Amino acid sequence: MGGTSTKDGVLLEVRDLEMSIFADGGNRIVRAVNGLSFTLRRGRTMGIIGESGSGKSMTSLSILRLLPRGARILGGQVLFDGRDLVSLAERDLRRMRGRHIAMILQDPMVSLDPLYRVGDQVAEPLRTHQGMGGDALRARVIELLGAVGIPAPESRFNQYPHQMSGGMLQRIVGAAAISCGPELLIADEPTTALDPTVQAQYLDLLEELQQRTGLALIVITHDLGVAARLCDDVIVMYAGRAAEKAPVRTLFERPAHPYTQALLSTLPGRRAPDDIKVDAHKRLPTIEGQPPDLAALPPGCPFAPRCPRADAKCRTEMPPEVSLATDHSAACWYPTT
Amino acid sequence: MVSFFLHRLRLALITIFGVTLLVFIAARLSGDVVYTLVDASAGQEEIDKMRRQLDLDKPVWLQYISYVGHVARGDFGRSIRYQRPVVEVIAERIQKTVQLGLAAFAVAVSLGISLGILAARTRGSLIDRAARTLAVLAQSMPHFWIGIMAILIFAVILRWLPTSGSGTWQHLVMPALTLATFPMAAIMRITRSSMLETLDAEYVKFLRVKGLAERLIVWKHALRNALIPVVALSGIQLGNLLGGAVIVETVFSWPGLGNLMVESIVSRDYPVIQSGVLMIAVFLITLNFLVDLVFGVIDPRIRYN
Repeated sequence: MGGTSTKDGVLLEVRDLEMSIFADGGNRIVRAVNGLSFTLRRGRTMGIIGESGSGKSMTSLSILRLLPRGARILGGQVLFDGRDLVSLAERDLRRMRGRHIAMILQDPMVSLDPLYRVGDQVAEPLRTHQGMGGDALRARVIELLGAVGIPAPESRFNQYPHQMSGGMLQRIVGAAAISCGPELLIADEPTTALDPTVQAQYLDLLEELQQRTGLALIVITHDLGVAARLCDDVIVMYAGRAAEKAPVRTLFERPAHPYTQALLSTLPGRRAPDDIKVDAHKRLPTIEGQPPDLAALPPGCPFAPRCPRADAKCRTEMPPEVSLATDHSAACWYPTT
Repeated sequence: MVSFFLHRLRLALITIFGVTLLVFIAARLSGDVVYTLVDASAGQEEIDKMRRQLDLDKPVWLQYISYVGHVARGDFGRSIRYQRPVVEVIAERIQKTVQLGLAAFAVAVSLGISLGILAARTRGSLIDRAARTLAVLAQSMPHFWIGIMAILIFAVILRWLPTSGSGTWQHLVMPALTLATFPMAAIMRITRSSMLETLDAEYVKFLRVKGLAERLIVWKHALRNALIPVVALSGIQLGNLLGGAVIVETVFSWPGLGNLMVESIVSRDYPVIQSGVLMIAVFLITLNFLVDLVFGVIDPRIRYN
């Protein structure tokens, strides 16, 4: 790639990204991502957190432009190393996928083709993007399998996905993702499908890979623990928008957006600020109310119906992103400062 | 693998035993062959004599045991109608049915799979809708009607093809295409839906994430996965072709096994009916076994132990 950026330079810049899904022949428009912007530097880790349906996964799929049926990017830019992926020709974009930008999907059990050996599936990007083949390719794949912590990689090469555990498969998927040395790795709920004991090991692996290769990570998760553990910066998404962006420590210590505050207070052992309504009588606290229907978004702040601080202004006018400190902003009329 | 084979063999023998018993009884329930062989004016004595000649004077269970004993030794008896060994009579007809069946099957599989893929890849388009409409039509029209219409149009009106009989490739065209309609439609529909399902699978998404070329994704990965149910259905359809062949061979006077079976039932030629059905049963059982072996080749998750 370009080579003009410095090591600490900006790798990915998402500007005002808008993506909608046109369902029922266009009668129902689900506004999955609504004007999202963020910047990711080389070698850093960005967490995107939020509830299901908040647009986290749709954001990551939009970056790679692997959209579900009926989905369209309606506006904005995704600048990767200075090139806009939104307007890139499909052919050129395919050369980016797997080579410069890799991704790990949620469920490793269904991420691999059941009919082909795992070694061959790890080899595919190398074959496609680097034209490797023969013994060199095989050796490289075995090296990769070893690098992601798979014991006896030579014999694992010839196994089929159904012969492996979920944790093993997630490592295989990881090996396939990093095979071409991408600058960016997007991990969509990387540990959700794994057993708790395997989860920690996998997070270790992601960190280790990042330290060794210097790749930048986007971690999509609804698990605040994963975010706290891995991320440098966090975006809290709500209804396809960034409710709050902050360095991870700031977010946990001084959350500014009422939604972030409510979300954090659902963590066992944390208390909500006095005005944040959380149903704490349940054994596990929950945020009252429902996330909005993305096909019928209210005119104002999407969190207003559930927000204790909301007033008439919140319900009619969309709050702008307010900068609270360096790298810390919240889309709220009344952020906690 | 060996134990799997032995297990299947045991099941096959039980099935074959059941088939022989059923057909033996059903053939006799269809009427008395003796009356088709003697004159209407024949007296009781003549009728009894004929019955003795054919060994039909003994109790049915004894006849059955004798029949099974002969079959076990490879003796399928003589055709009452043709006065020749059953094996000979069936052998000369069966190659005609194999010819017809294979031609029809080849058409059904090649057209069915390619149309199915085409429809899936152009989902919702005019091509997709046309292919699906065609499939519904092909599956709703009975063979005899398609056959008669084909004869009317291509033989009687256009005079492109012979009406019936066999001998040249022109004779094969209409019966084979008629027989192919139903399985082709069935294979096309399952290929389409299976392909659509596969193309939406997570592992296909991951292949795209890896940046593979679309043609590799479709032809190497999606198609192979999509073919698993297609193989299962094709096996069933190849078996069903035999049923269809009975009708198609009759419509086109194609001198095959189906035609022979109809003739034999009409003339109550018990030995031919029994051996013909036995033959078909063995064929279907073998076919099912082969389909299972094909699964093992396509799908590494299937191992027969």
